Amino acid sequence: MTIPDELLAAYVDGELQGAERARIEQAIAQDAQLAQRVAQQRALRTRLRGAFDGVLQEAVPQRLVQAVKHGTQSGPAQVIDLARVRADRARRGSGQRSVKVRRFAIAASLAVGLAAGVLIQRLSVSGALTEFHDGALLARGALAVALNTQLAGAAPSGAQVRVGLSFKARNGNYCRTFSLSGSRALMGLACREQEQWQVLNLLGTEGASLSGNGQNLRMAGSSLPPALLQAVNERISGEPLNAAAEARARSNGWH
Amino acid sequence: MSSPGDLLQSQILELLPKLRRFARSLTRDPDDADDLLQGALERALTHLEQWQAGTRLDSWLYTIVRHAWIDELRSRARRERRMEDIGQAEAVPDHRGDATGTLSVEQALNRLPEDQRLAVALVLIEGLPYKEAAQIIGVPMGTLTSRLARGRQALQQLLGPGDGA
Repeated sequence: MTIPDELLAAYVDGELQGAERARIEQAIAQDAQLAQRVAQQRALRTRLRGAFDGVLQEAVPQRLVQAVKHGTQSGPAQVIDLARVRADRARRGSGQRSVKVRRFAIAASLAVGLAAGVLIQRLSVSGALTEFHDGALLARGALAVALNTQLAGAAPSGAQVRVGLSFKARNGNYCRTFSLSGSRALMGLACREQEQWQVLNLLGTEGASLSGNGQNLRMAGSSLPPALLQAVNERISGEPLNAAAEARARSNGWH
Repeated sequence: MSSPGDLLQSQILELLPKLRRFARSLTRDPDDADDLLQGALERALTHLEQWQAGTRLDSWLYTIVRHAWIDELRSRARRERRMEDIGQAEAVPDHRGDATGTLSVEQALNRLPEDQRLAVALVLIEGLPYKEAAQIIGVPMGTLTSRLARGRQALQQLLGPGDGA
């Protein structure tokens, strides 16, 4: 039986099924010359794989890993997970930084200052949420209560303040991210300083995922805008607290 | 908590070794290969929404690497033309191991025309089904199989009989 090269190649490449495959196999079994042609085709595949498979065992260069991580981080979803917080910190440590993230940070970051204070006062519904004290913006009212008592991602429905992730800063103090709903949504980072929650970052968040009635907020420990993520990265020591560690910190009064 | 973006990200990370292998089979040079892949990844990640759920993520990424490679070849050709224009063209053909059977696999692969090399890389090295490889290259199945056949034949000649002979 004569079998054309392309058919034989298709057999070697695993493209044939059922009766066609069985027919070739039968022919090979009966024809030593055909069997040799198959062996040659297989040997070529093996040699090619052998020449390039070494790449699979190599460590993937960090710049490629970062290209993937930055890309998705800056994508439309802007959703982070804990692993990414960790990896981003490692990246910062290694001195590399995504241009894209930096650009976002500059665009979105709102320095804590009078303007932010005014913004937050205006937004406050049930009393002032912040107070300036010795140049520091301190959490007050519902914001302070939520930072003290709310577990991450466990805000009651309709809550004005939602706590995102909690972590321990390098100076040993606890920090928590939060979001505030209102006519203009805000997100921020507060850290413990002298028995108080000091608001270190505050930024306006515009866009569909953060506007609306608060039910759309995706702040439950999984989503941060890049600028806030960067602020977290700059302070975080180790990983964000898991639920158990967070509950422990709360019962110890965030000491 | 994970999102579709996170899931895609981790899947792409898992594919990186294979994507590096593919890039290396195209570019001949390990550093060029990683540069090519990095550019392709950046392109892919800014267009993640173009990937269609239900299709193979690896094929989509291979396609983007292929496009990036074609762009690279074009800009190389432009550079070379400019060099020729100013009389600085460096034509150093690789004649190492010209006698049949003494070429390395990489050298032999480099001798193939681009279209055959791509078919060989996708099917014989990456192990993709014909259908996927044809889609990645953007040609009908018949075109793929004939390029593959010619590539195989050329490689057999360049490399001599393999171990299976």
